[in-house]
Amino acid sequence: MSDYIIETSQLTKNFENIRAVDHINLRIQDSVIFGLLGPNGSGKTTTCRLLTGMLQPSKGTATVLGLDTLREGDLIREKTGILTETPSLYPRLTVRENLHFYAKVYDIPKVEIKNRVEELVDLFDISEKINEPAGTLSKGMKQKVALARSIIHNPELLFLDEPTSALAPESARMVRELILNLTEKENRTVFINTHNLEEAEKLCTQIGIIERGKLIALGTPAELRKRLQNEILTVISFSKWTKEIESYLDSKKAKVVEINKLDSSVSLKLEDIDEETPKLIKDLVNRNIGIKEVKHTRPTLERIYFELVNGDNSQEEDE
Amino acid sequence: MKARRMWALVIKDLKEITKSKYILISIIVLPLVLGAVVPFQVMLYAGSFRKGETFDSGFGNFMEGILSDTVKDWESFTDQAKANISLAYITLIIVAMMPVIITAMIGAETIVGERERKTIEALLASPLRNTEIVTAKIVSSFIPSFIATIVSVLSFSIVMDIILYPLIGRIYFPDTLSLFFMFIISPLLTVIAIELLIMISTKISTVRDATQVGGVLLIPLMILIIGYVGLYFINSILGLIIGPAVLLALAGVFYLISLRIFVREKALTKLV
Repeated sequence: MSDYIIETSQLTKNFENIRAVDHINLRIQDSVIFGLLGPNGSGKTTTCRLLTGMLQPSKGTATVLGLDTLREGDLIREKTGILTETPSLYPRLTVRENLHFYAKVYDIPKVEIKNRVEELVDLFDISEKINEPAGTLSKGMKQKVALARSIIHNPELLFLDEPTSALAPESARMVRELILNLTEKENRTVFINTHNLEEAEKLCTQIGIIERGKLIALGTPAELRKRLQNEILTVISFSKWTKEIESYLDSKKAKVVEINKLDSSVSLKLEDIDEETPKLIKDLVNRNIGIKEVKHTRPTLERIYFELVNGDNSQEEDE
Repeated sequence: MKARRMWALVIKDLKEITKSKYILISIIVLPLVLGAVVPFQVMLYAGSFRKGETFDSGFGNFMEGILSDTVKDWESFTDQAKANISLAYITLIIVAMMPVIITAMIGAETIVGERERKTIEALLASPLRNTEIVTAKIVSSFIPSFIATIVSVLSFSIVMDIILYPLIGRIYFPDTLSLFFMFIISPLLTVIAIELLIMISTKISTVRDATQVGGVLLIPLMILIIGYVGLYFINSILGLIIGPAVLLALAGVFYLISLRIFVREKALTKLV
């Protein structure tokens, strides 16, 4: 068996004239939270479906848990848990009936089903809703039940497709905590599809960025930050945003990365931080512009993401 | 194929069906209406020959030609009894259509309903094999239809016997043909109807569309039923052997086609 829990080689999927996944090479080790990050329609769900053998690749190969996705998709789905993009619960059945049904589908012995469902009910704190029809639950509660369903058979590997999309911030936070709980306490490997940068940054130990079916970056959040290591920004917060600041910044246009008028702050990319920062502060003080704070920041995942995605787009546009 | 997994899906489908008032009422009301009310109403029209009227008419001669060789003691029956028995067999064709109507309704719900509610996504992401899904869908649509068939044929028989007993002095229904309908022909037609629904389900995304298409399926199946009844009365041995054999072969072929058509990838990518 391969050292990697997921391994793909030139994995490609075409739908008629559309290339949804384009020659993806992935290697994911055991016990990591891998985040596949990309905008809507970038190929995340298709990749997930290819890895679980629900779709067949047009080209390339993939193995999951040492099993070939093309020939052994059924076995992969037995050993993995999948949280689909929509909770996919049966609305007329109660939460208990939904969980019991999938317990049988995943071939959990009859004598163990009751206990396993009770365990999950406690873990996800859904005891109050256990006898309610799933159709009457809130979105957040449905997602909790769907997450419980996806781990009912204690899978080694969990695929979560947009686990917090369409959830209110409170419910999203709750689902994220549950995912972290699962990986920390139960040592599972998790593959998350998300377009949410904050989510990827908070949850993932490894990140792949996908854009138009292509994997444009892969690594740990730290490794991805390294790619923009020379991009340490100087952030200056002013006591008040004035026209004078704007006219001053206009003269420094090439160096301005971001202006945040609400915060009265500006992020600048300086060629030589040590030399230019004091000069800049002196310049501002001489102009009687009130400075509240000056700090240096490392690039966030958001910045890396947009840098990569926009860079990739501009390359294609140039071509 | 794992029977436990398949049965889990069957039980789940049956639970869903029984929790839908709309479907449940239809399953209860249809067999009673088609099995008891319609036959009773038909018999009311045939129930009283006016003075001077006889069975010796175009229709009477036609039915006489079909039934005289097959129905026991036909010649000893009065014209009134002959008319009633003739109409009873025509009504039986309507009763035989009932399971197909119910199948169209339940099949639409259990097969296309999964797609409409997007629950099929989790089902396809589960370890259930395509064979298990297709077989379970056939079984779960079949069971309520079969129960409805038994209820309707039994209620048909009771109504007919209440009307016929004073005329012929014996219990006539269920006869060989109605029993054959109940246990062989209707079940086979039901399976064929479900398989046809599975075949076209990849092209349909709403339960409403599926129910309408299911209604269209009634036409070829009605032709099969009429053909079968005709064959039975022309030659009852042929009717008893060849009719079911043809239907069984059709059900087998359609099952294999359904399995070929039901591809995970197609079912998933057709999700809207």
